[in-house]
Amino acid sequence: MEVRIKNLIFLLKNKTINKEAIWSRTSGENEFKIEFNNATITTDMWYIEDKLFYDFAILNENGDTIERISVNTLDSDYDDYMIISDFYDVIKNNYFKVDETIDSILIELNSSAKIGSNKKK
Amino acid sequence: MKLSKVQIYTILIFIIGFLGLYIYYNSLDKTFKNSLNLISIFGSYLSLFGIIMSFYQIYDLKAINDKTQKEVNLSLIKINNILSVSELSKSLKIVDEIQNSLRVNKNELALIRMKDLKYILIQVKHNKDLEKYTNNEEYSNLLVDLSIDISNLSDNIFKPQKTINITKVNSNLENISTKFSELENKLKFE
Repeated sequence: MEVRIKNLIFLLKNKTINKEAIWSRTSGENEFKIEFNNATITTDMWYIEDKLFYDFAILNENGDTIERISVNTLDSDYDDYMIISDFYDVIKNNYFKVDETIDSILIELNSSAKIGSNKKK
Repeated sequence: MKLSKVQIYTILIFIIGFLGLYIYYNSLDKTFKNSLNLISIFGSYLSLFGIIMSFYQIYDLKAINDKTQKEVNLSLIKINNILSVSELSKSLKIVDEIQNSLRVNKNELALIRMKDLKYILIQVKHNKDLEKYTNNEEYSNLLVDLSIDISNLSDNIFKPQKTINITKVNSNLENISTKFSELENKLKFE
């Protein structure tokens, strides 16, 4: 993987972690996208015959793919695989607000207040 | 032969000028009244009149040329508008076709028509008359979303394990349809 792409992924991952990036869903079942002024970045994940694939793509303003990096559990360079898969997980967790949801459950569990509600009330 | 207003005015001005010079010649002292002076005065008048007429004709010709050019440009704009409206109507039909193909699981056919739709979206984006409506983020997103849908549908055809959310594709197509209807009406009525 090119150094500047690695750098791009690193910066975007940090922006996402800092909640400064707004991701949205696409028609791909597990795919997410983020829009820039003249480009769009997508990241995707899928299984084929027990192989786990991750994908990172950059599209220009006409929607043409100008860079695509696909990695999988068996055939890819280990470092590339870790970078893309880690990036995807960060985006997915950010989109579904995984950390906030778990933290909020933990706060409720650690408090002395009653949890849950009786819906038959 | 019916003379135009300009021709009548020209003849009148010529005659009045001619008569004016005739009166002027008659009022001259007898010593100046000779055939050489007569030819000189009327010759100068004819030359001057000729030069003024030439200038006027050149100016008139330029005005006609400008008017013709304006008319040609207006016709071209009208033709372009008609073509754009027809392209937009065509793409609305293509959107319907794609949605029908997806409904009956004819994904290969839908993919071909989606590529046609993308081509029209790019073409409309570069249409000068529509530039003010298409040179924005909303339009770019339509194009990018369609491209992502094309890529996902193509992947789904060749790798069926890679699933696609057809509802989302239909929603994106609906957005294109709404935008194109809006553009079509703007071209027709504005």
